[in-house]
Amino acid sequence: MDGNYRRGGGPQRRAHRAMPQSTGLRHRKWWGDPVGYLFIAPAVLIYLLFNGYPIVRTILMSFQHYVWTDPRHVYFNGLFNYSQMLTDSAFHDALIVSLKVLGITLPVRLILAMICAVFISRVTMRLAAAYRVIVWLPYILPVAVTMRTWSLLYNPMFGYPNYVLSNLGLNAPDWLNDPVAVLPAFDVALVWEGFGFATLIFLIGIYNISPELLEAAAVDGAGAWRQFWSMTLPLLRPMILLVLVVSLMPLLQSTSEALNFVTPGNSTVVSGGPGDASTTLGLYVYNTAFRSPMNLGYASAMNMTLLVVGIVVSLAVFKTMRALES
Amino acid sequence: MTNGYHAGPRRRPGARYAPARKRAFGLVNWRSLCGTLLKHATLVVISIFTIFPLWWSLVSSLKGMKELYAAAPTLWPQSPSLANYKAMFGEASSQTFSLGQQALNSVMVTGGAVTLTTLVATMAGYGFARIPFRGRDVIFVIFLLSMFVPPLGAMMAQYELMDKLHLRNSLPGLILLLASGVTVPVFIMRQSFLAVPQELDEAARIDGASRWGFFWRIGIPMVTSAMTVVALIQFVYVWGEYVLTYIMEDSPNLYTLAVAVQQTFVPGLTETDQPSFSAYGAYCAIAVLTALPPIVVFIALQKWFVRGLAEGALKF
Repeated sequence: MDGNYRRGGGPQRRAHRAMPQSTGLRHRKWWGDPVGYLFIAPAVLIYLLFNGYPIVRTILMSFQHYVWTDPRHVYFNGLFNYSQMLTDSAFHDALIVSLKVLGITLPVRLILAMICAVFISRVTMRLAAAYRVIVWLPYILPVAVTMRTWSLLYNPMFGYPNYVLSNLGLNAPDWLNDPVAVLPAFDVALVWEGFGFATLIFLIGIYNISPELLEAAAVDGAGAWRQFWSMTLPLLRPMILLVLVVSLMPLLQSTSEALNFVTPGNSTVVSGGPGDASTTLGLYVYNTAFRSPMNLGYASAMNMTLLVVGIVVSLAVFKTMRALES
Repeated sequence: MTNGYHAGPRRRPGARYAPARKRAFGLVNWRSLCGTLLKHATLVVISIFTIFPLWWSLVSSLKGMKELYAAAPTLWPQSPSLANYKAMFGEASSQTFSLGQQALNSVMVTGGAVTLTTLVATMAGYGFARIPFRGRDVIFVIFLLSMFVPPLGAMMAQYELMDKLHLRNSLPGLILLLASGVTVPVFIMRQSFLAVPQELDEAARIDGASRWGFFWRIGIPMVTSAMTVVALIQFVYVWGEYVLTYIMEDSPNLYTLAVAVQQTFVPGLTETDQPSFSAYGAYCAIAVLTALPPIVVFIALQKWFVRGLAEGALKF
């Protein structure tokens, strides 16, 4: 006890030394408190086993010729899988489909979400809570449910939209079997599914804007529209950035959404619409890996490319937003 | 931070404002009325757009073959019946699938994976936030970088791994696989442990408690709202997970509800046998059953979720 005072230091230091754990060997080791490793071990281990190792393995696989049905002839073939992407016309078709889907769905989602967020923030509290729940519903439903529901809605015989359209005298196409109409139909379902997430993020951003800023603008005579355009929108830039970065890659791939958007009742149909008209990139990778050719090597190469593209695009969006801010 | 209702500019005494607008008809502020009308009309239209497909599914699941083939589809069944639901659990379920088993699978997989992830992530969150050990920050940054990998990016290697571990065509394997997405939960839990004052930790240790004791008795109760947020996010994800479940499981008896919605093929029974049953309605019935739990859980936990968000569990 006397030794505690002999070592000097103020009351805090003496109290710290009085803790049994602080004077033992554990405290003096340069690597801190090793019980920390025990705390993080389960998370890190389960992640490494089921996510970390597969990522590394995928990178390796992309340089191999690896077909699941022929496991004895696995060998490295360098960049062959990657070069196959350049000549594969089915890959190009899937890429175009994905780009079309992305180009329409993402802007519509953002605009719709922005409108919703601004209006919900200007409505009384109880109603706002109700609208928030409604808007969030499609996002929490299972993917299979959302896409199947829309598939069933688009059914020309039993579905409601075609009934309404034909009553109005408009053309009511067979949405799921018409190669031209299937993409807009898919886009509508995707917008429906995803705009809730963006709305919530924008709402969080709007709630975080301090009212004084808007007061100052109103005092200067700015109307509601001007307020939004020059004040709210720039302040929401980080939120827009977040939504863009988070939803870009999943939208570009759209594996599970495209898998589920098929003509109902026919689960043996290889989904992808009439003549691959709605085969997105993700679906193409899935088909390559798990359906006809089961060419895991090629599928891995495509996924790796998507990963790199995703990182590059995220960084680009990030940098552009930063540049716009200054 | 407002209460959600932007009351607009506060009128300050002595300040000069833009001149008040002329009021037409004297009694009503038309401009503000138009604004309110526009807001509500737009929101109502969007709400209808959002709810309609779900409503349609619900209504169709209560309809029978006769109403389905009627010339004009209706927005409410003329003779609502639960025949579709009964049939799905009863005789229409052929020998290849059992909806009850699939529902049970869903519950087990989701319950197991969510519990595992929440527990593991909370422990790791505390470790990363409050325990100093060598390499802690480096490991955390590497952990974070993995957020950049697109979803399903490694599904092929996961398939191969699960096969080699003999975990592929099994439920426990699926639970482990779906519980492994711990990156975002760990991030959230670390954020919330960082908000717990450090003095609590010191005080407990002066009293002789170990890290583990502090964690269980004081740490966890302090972060329950963040844990609820994590559990909710994981629940919604695992309940609806389709692709991984579908590729890993071979037999329909191991499917979860989310997969069964898509993969169940119901042969339509003849009209004379079961006039109130239709395959279309049956698909809608499964969809409704699968959609209910996330909605119910979300609405029940809404309070915690909003509190967790507000407390900065997702601070940017």
